[in-house]
Amino acid sequence: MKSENKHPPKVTLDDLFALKRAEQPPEEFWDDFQRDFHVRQRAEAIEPKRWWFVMPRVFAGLSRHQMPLGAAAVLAVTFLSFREYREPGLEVAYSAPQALPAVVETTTPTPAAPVAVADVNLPNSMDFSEVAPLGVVEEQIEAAVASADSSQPVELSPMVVWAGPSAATIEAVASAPTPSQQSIAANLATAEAEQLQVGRLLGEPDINLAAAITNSDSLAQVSVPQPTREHLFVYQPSPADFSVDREKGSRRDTHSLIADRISHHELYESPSRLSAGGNHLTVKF
Amino acid sequence: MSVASKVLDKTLVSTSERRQEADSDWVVVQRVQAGEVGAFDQLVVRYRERVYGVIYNMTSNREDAADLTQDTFIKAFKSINRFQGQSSFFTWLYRIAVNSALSHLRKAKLRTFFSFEKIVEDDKTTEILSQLTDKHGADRQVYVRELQEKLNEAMQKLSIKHRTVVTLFEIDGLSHEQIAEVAGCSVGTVRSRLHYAKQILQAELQSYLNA
Repeated sequence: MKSENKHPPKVTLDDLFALKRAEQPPEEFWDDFQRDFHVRQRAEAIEPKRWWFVMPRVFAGLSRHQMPLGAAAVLAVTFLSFREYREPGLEVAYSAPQALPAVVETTTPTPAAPVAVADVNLPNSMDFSEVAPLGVVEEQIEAAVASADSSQPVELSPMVVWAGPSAATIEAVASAPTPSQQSIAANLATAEAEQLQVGRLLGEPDINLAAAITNSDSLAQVSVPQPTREHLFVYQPSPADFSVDREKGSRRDTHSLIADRISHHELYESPSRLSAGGNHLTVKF
Repeated sequence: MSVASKVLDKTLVSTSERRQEADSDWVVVQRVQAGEVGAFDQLVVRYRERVYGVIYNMTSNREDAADLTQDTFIKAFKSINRFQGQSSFFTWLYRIAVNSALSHLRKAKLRTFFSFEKIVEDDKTTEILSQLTDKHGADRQVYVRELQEKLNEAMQKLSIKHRTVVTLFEIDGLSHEQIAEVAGCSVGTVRSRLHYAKQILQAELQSYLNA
């Protein structure tokens, strides 16, 4: 329903604004408003302030020290930049090609004679192309193992003599009674050769891995447990240790599975399972 | 003295009175900042009608206006320690109120539901209404209701920025400079928006106005 105004309009826009201005809630509204406001005010006072709410005040306090703080920040960034900066030439010092006189000297065909590698005066910079790859060392060791029965002298290349295992090690490999011991000895010799190469490149002193292993604590040096503690060392399979062998369909305990795994031939075939670092040897299972 | 007269007295105050008011506000604010929380009630009572009026005329919804007025005073209370007295308290409070209303309007852009406050009649409003209609009793109430609807529709046809300027200048009585401070724009922009908004309102309310 739209009522009609028959009189001509006699008001101005300001009059209409005055009507808008007169639109106000009743007095009771403000009583409720004040009560609600007090409730919310108390709730806000109880609620803990968030950390970011305090930040503007913190920064407002720091604004007085803008210049010193800014200068300190610039200095810190500059210092860190210079500290982290390294000249590119320093990083490629090892890659400078240079002939190795020691290699030339060791081209004598005396294969079995041990060479005192420590006496060789290595230069600071070294050509990596002259270093025998690890595969060559492995081949030499395999040849030594194969010729163990025929008791033929093993001919090693000069590169191997310089970088490979010592004659005593090769002899130990050849004289090992069982294939597994030969494999362990071969892996040890490979690791020793690798250790010598890397250690010399880094300028570290030579480490005799075999001696290190021998000198380390062995099970033989562990004191025999007291009779009261012996039963703690005895393996007693629990029902949870049993698992089902899917291929054979039989139940096998975890202990026997681990034992099989350890004695597996693949364990000794890869030299990557053996690694040497510092004065210790690591075997990966 | 009626409510409408009190509101008019509060809104249409001179610059010198504003300055005295600002000084008085600053004293109360310092008391609140010192920890006298109860003193904030004086500021609420002093400005609640005006803040409500600004928000109501921007939103044309009394429920929203009530909520946003609460929000405005709560925000002011929470932030009062950051108030350094570089501007007057009422300008700072208006800025919070306008920003709250603008934020709300942007969120509720598609809503077209309006609710109105009753026009509190005094001598001036009665005279204006009698010039617009000779109806009495229930017919008069219906006519006033339609007029309110028409006024609100016209206000809502303005953009938010133009509506803000018209509300602050024509209804709340702020100066161009104060509006520029509250709205964060130049005085020239305020004048330009005001001129454009009044043209729109003139066209929309033509049937009620003198030729």
